[in-house]
Amino acid sequence: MNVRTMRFLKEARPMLWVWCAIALLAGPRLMHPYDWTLAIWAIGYFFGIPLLAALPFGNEFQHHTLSLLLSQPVGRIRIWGEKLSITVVAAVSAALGLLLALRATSFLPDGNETHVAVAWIVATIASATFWTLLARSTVGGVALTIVVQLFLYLPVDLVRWRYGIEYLSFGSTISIPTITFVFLCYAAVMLWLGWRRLARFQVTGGMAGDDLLTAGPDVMPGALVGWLRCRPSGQTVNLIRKELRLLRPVWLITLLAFVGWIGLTVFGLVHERGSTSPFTLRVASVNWPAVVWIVGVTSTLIVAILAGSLSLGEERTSGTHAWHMTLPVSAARQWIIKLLMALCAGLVGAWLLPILLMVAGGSLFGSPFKLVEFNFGMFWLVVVLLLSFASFWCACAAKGTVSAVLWVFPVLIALYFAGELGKWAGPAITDLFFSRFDPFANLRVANAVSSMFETFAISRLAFWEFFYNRGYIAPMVGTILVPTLFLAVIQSYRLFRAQLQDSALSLVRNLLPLAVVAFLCSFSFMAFFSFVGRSNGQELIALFETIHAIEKIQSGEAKLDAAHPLQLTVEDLAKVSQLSKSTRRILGNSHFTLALDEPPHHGHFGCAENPEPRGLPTLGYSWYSAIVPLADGSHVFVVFDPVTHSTISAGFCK
Amino acid sequence: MDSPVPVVQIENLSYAYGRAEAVHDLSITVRPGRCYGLFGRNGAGKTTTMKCLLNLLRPQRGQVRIFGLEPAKHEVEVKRSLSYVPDQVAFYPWMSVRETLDYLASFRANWNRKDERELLDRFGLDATQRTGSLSKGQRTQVALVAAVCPETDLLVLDEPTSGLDPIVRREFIEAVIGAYQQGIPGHRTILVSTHLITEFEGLIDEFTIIDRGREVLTLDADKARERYQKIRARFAEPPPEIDLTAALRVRREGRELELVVNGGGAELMERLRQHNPQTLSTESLTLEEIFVATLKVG
Repeated sequence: MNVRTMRFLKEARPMLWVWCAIALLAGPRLMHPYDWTLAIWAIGYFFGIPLLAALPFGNEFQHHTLSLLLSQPVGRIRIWGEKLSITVVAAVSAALGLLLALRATSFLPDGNETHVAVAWIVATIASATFWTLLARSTVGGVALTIVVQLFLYLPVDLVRWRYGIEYLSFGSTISIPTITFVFLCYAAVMLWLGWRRLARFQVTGGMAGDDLLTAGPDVMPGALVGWLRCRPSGQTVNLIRKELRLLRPVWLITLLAFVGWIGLTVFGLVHERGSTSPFTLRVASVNWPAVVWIVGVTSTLIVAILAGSLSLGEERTSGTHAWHMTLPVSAARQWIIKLLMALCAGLVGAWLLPILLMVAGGSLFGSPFKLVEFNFGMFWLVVVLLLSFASFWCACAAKGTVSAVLWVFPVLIALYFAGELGKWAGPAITDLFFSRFDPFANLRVANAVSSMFETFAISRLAFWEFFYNRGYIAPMVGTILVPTLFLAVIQSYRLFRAQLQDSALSLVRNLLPLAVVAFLCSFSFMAFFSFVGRSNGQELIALFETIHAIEKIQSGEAKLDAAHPLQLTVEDLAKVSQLSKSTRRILGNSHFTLALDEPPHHGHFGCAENPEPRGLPTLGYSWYSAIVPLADGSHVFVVFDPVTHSTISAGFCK
Repeated sequence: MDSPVPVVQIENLSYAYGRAEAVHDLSITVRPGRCYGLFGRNGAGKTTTMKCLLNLLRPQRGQVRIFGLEPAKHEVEVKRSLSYVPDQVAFYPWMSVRETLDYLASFRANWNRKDERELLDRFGLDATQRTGSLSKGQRTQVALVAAVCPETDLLVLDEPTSGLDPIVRREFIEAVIGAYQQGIPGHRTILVSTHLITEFEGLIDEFTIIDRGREVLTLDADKARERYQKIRARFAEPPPEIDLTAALRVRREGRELELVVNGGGAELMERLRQHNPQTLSTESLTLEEIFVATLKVG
């Protein structure tokens, strides 16, 4: 291996994981071509690629190796060239992968959109070096690269919009020659500035004290700075003040996102009003859901993830975290303050402000929930809290903000797959068990297991409805989430106070118990339901087959005499409808009694064990009932509504 | 001095980073009022030992106690009784020196403002300056001020003089450390880890030399100087063949013979005297020389 290859490999190695993470972000789009996957995709494209471009120099700042690198007998122009080459390869290949994923899902960008996409990539690659060297950190470099490009985009778009130049669909709202020209000029200038910045770069400090985001000029109002200034007393308040200051980049991003949310709210309201003014017509032509998903979801994810990871990540990088562990304040108190502040920052920045804005906007036009539904708001809240906590866990388990942010999605995906594996394995193992040994061949065992349902206050039919209508998803998510979260909280405290080894293996080792818990919870839940479902399944099939046969024999009330109920045997049923082997076994030598019946309105129905059958008949006068005795001595009370051909089972009674 | 409870008690401490063993079966006892040195080369395990004391690392084997308390069980009580200056000092870059000291003072029950002012003056530190713009040495100075002002009973210093210029280093060791110990004589204890042993020569009461995580030598400094001696003999002719297996180090140069001994110096001198040397002298080794002699033999 020659020297140059070695240097290229050194540059490529830290970028590999980021590249893989970006490739993973294209995955959901390939599997589910919905709006939310477009938002995930957009994170990869608009944030992942700037991150890739900022890493070559960002890593040198993170590991304090820039002075070592610049002191080597290699020209700075060569260092710049090598880093730029590897950035071009990584960023272009990642962008191509993302664009191909988009294309594979029938989203065919037209020439205009392709030009915008290419211009974004060129500008990103060319400008990231300059901004990273200016910010002296990866996070700062990424933030400045994106923000400057957005601010470059907005005035061009405003000018174009003001003069009504070539309005196109969303994603290509700018005239192509303008955007190409502006972005290419910007890229050329930034490329030159980046080279110049490196050529004249002065390493003014060895620690993270030069980071522009954390140490940069304070733009906060004086009163706020005064309040956030630490005092000689009040350790808890000082810890909170310190957290608020550490989260400064999150507040800045929140502010930018808030501006975006204001725009979205105004657009949304205009869109809702359906006005026919030229302005609203233009707004209405925007693909509103796509805008909301891309801007809304992206800003939510970024704020929630940074809120969880930034404070601890920066402290771990700078060494202030280890120093705090030696102060006479318990690690538990420091951990809880940091966790609560992370969750609060995520909550305020990624949920509360947008929600308040949209509710206020909606209220102005009649309904507070015009722009956002209550249930969706609650779902959003849970997602934000989970994301902030997941990134906090990653910050506890990884060294530095960048590592933590990069690990958030792999960790969540790993836990999701662990849960899915358990969900698949539960019924699969149960099936395997039943293929070898069927305990429900014995009706006593089947009944004993079935009665477990009654213990859990779930009727048999309710179970099937619950199962087939996927009502199990919410309790299953709860069953998986609660124990996994509980363990993750304990783990985060343990990791918070530990001295970490900066290795992926160490993080995977910490993730393993969480994945095992997610798997076991999901496995147990599904295996339990599958097992109990089996016990009901045979009886339920028997019931359905019996009902079907009875309906064939007796298709209306006319044939029934109230004084003389009709008596049927299993053989009578078998003559009109096919009965399975297990049904025959369950029914045994039963005799069925069919009689006209009164419709139930309230209270007990069927038998005391099953007081609340599901559903009510449509007509009160035209229905009849059947008592289906089973071989084990229990019976089923079934009521038929011949008008709608619906039945009500009172369930299995003793 | 008569206190039955040692300030620091380390018993059979072991710690490994993965497969790399950093500390192995180390035992140290530091009594109150002493200045205890932990000497060793780079990577000897000094910082790992310090981190175990501060509960930054959990001992994998053995026990650590500070003022009779286990740091893992009595985290806050232990940390309240000590101040620590790490080998790599880090502060929040947006805070000024003043705010940093105020922030640290908020965690302490006691903070000597007079000492703080004096030390800031002595080090020439500007309290309004942001810590992000301080040099490495200045950051260490701020950390030293922050460690001395709470007036704790134990001062734990991990390579405290690295990054300090010679004048400040001398100032710090003679004035700051000296004044700290004299604040309540016989009560305040210092545990210092360093490989710049000469700097602390006059302050160290007792020391342990560790190498590759293992204890090599633990001695009272005065006893060490008594035991470790350098004997120089000059003969009229090349030095005679004498049994010098008791010597730690032997150097022959022309008609001169130089020996480093660990005890038994008087007996060796007597033997040399029998060969009628032109000159025969003996002197105590400095702690640094003892360190070098011990590790070279080891």
